[in-house]
Amino acid sequence: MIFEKIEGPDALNAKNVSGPFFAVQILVQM
Amino acid sequence: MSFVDMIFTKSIRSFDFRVLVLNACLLMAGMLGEPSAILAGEVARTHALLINGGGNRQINYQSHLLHVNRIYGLLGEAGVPGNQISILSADGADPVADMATREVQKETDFWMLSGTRLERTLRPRITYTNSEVGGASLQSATRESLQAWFESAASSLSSGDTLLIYVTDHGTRNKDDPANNRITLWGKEESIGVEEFRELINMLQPTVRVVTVMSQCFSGSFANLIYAKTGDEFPRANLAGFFSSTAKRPAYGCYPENRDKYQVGHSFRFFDALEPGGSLLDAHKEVLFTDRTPDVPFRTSDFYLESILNARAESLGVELDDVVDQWLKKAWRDRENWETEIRLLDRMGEAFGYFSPRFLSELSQHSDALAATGKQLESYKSAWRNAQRSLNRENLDRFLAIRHDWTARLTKEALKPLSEAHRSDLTSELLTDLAAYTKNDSATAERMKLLREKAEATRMASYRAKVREGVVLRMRIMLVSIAGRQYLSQSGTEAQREAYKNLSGHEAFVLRETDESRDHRIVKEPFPSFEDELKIAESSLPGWMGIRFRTLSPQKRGKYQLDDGAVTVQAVFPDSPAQQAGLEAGDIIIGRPGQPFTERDFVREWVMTAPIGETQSLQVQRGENQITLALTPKPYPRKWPSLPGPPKVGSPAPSISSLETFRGRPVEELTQEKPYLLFFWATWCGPCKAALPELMAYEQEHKVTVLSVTDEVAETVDAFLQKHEGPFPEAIVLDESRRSFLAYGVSGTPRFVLVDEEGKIKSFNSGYRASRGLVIEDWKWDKGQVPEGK
Repeated sequence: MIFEKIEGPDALNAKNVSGPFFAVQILVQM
Repeated sequence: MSFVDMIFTKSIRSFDFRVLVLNACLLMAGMLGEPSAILAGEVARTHALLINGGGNRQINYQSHLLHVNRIYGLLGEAGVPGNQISILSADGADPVADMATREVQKETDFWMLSGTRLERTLRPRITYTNSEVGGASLQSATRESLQAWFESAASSLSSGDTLLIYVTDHGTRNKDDPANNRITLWGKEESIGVEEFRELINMLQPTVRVVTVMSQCFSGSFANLIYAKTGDEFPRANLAGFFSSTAKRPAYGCYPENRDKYQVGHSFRFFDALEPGGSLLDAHKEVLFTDRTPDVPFRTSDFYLESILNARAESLGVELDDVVDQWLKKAWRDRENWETEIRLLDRMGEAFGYFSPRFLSELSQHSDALAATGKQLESYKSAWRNAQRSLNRENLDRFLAIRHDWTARLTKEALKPLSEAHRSDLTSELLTDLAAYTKNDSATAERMKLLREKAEATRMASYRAKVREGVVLRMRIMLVSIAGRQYLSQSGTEAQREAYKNLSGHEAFVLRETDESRDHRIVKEPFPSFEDELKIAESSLPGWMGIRFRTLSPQKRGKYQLDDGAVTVQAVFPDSPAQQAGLEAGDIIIGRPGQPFTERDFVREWVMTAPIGETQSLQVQRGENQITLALTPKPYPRKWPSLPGPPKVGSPAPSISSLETFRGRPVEELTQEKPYLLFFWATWCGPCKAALPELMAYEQEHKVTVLSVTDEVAETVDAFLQKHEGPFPEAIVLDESRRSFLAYGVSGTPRFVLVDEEGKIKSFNSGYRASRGLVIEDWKWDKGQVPEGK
């Protein structure tokens, strides 16, 4: 999957990643 | 350098010579030994083809050219005439820049910018240059050049000639056929696979000897070149070779040089070993303990012996490992026959702080423990690194908040026109000021020091674990090979013995006889024992609470007057300290009572560095109230517990009554005698937007209420709808705490959940592609019916 866009205030940790068919939000966990 | 221990290996080489003589005698009796080295003197009849495909200039790393330069020098020293060396490298003689180089970061304090917005901007840039090799003329590394070269060699090389083929490059894996991986060549979609390469070699006269040394990623696949055609039972009699890694593994030589260290990987160590002269086989054996990367070097005879034992295992209907161990047992009855191999295994064990195995069963037990420790260290590494990067960002922000002069100098506009040299000077100056500023803030400086130490210790230990995993595979290959030779000597056929003899004979090709007067030094860097590695893992163990979180929105922060370090809990993992403390998804962690967290994501560092097993108080905002919870951090788990998955189709739909209505009629419960389609989405989600026309058509035609659920705040949704052109479902609810996302097991968007009239889940669907449409029973979209927008 090729991701089109990475955004969010803290893209190095939490990320919003939108692909062509599906989008995910990567959250920080601890 | 005090940590570097130089050792001389002259004595080992002369020992090998004695063993070689002994082995030559043993050859008469069976197949146990290695052949004695084939002496040089045929150097005048040696030809070399050096290939660096490169791909394109962005990925044609300088290390490739360094490899070509090194072997070109070695060939020259050995006396191979220049006109017998052909180099196919990138764009060949074209003077256009075809290679990427990057200076090594010179500022030792640069780590303070790691994770900040300046990291990318201020690190040395990649520059492009033309690749050149001594006075040699280069040809382009294309299929056409290769074809032309072999066409010419087909007539010019004759019986008694040796062709040495060296490949340094990128390689690609063929998942469908591991016996046919590819070497990257120069230009778009230019590459060559094992089968095509075999055809080129088949053009040569069959009496020309071919020896290959290949260090591209997944190079092991090219061991299949020993067969003149696919499916042959016996190898051809004129070819042997060495590979940096197996068909399934990348090779570390084909990574950018500044990824880890300068001049690492199989090729560099192979050439080091060839410096004093000797056979390629000797060089290979040395590489097994000097290549300190996860590479798994092996040779064609290893490959052939394994194939024989594999066939044996298959015919007996047993596992390969059992057959190998059975033959190893026989081999070890006469250990003196295997003294060279045992020494080499011991040497590898010693070099990598590991044990020296005698059976595969021992290795497999250890490799499981190794893989588990490796994974553990990998997760610690990421955790410490992320915490370190968070703190770097905070520190830089604080520095810039008081140093407006620097703020002005570091804007994109100010940095853009700077030359590489000016940017480098600016970086040095900035780091001097930033280091001085940080030193004055002793609490932060201490935290940064601790996090950096932990991040570094776990980064290095995690890499060493990968190296050890590679070493276990190297040892495995050696053991299989010993078993194979024992099998050949007792049960192999004459033809198999002959084939092995040919392979190992060509592997012993000598480019230049050993020059005992040349010092041959092996740099031995410290490599802790596996036991010490476990101690490092233990001392870097972070504390853990078991939550998923994100920074609180400015709106909520303003509403409850909370600090920047407040985070909203998105999920609580089962059986975690957070669950035991009573934390719930939707809670806002404020900090310790009376000491709110003031830095974004600080909660992570706090729990990582908190004493494990000691109960801490945590101040939490739950709804409109503040409560104090008692949290006892546990050790970071090897494996995180799983969060509950989505409810099953047919089960009651989880409640959504607590969600905030953004627009549309408030939904109390999903059992209101009409179906709902829950549409989990986000304003930044591309495929969610793509689904809207069909979603609107479905809502209108099926009289199903589409309820759009997002975890974003009202302001974000409002701004989105202001700009959005086109239809959007009327009913929108907000779920900032993501409770419903968790309840419905939504890991990504869009997610469509159809709930029937009785409030039961009828279907789940994830993702959207126009060609497939919404996958819902009794629904097919007629695209002509696009409804009006609201």
